[in-house]
Amino acid sequence: MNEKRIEDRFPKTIVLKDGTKVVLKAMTHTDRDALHQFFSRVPEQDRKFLKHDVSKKEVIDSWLKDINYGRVFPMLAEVDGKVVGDATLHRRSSGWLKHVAEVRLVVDPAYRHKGLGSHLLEEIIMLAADAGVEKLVAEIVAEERAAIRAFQRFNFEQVAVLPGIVKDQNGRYQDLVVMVLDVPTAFVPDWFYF
Amino acid sequence: MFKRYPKRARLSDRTQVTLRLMVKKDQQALYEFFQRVSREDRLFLRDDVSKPATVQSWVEELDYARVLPLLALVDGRVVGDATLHRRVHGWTRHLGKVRLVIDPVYRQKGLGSLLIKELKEIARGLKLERLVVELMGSQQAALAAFRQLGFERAAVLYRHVKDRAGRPQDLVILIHDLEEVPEPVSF
Repeated sequence: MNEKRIEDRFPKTIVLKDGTKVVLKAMTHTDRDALHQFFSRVPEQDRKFLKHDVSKKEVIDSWLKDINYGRVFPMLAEVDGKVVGDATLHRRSSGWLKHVAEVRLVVDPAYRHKGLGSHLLEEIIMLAADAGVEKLVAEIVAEERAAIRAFQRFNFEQVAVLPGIVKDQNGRYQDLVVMVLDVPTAFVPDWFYF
Repeated sequence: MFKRYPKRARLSDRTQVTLRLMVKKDQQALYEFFQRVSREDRLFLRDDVSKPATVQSWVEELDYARVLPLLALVDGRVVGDATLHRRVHGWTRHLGKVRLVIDPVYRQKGLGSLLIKELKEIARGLKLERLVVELMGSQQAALAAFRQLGFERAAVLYRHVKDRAGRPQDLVILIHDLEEVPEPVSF
């Protein structure tokens, strides 16, 4: 992700269905404490379905230690300086998955069902299209039905299920659903409208 | 647990090979090895090994906790490279990803199964539960070889990856369960 593009796009203010103003911005080193607090508000039954154990401070610190927007672009949603959503776009600089990016999304429970997740996902898809990504992948634990439906609304298709491949934070084995979106190349970026 | 290396073994044609973990000074030998792999084969490798920088970055970032590279050598020349990739955190921490490349001259001699057998032992020692291999759909020989070694096809992602020539290829995910070795029953 090009730094100039990020500066042009962010911060950006969006308005949720209930009128809440949310600021979208690129994560920086100064967001450490806000991120810790955000993940501590994510309930345990949700946390156990995340790829990483975010209750551990060292996990979050490791993300902040090697911030590189070209590899991982972390986008935060903030309300009055409080982080309420985290959407990340993961890319590879070389190899057979160079044209593929992965999206991960976490929303504060108090800000669900207000369209925040959709805003974040839409923003990530536009960023991906802008960066020339051809496929976006989301890996979701099968029990997360609501998350799977949310991705389906954005035309992500379920391409594979890996039975019992994931070991959640409680040590239980879960099926992993792999969802893929063929990123529309003709996606018109929002800055096109004036 | 790495005390077992270096270790000697014989291939089916009686060639003696040495197995050991990769160290930093193997950079040049490893690069030369990848240049002996045919262009067609290199098309299907995950990374562009025709660039010295690719091999250099592996050597520079050598960290056995993340990637464990096992080399097979004949007279000091690298003839096979099998790597076990792990994650420290997260929901795949119990999995090991395997990648394997064999010198074209040393194929069909049991070297691949020798290296995979070693990686299975190492993985058990590290308390991993399953091994995962990702291949492109057109790598028929490699797919057949891994299936013979007990890997089963878990999923196919249609036209998901691109080979070096930019052609879309299916991604095949194979999984092998590292079953518990039953303790010998004493009477």
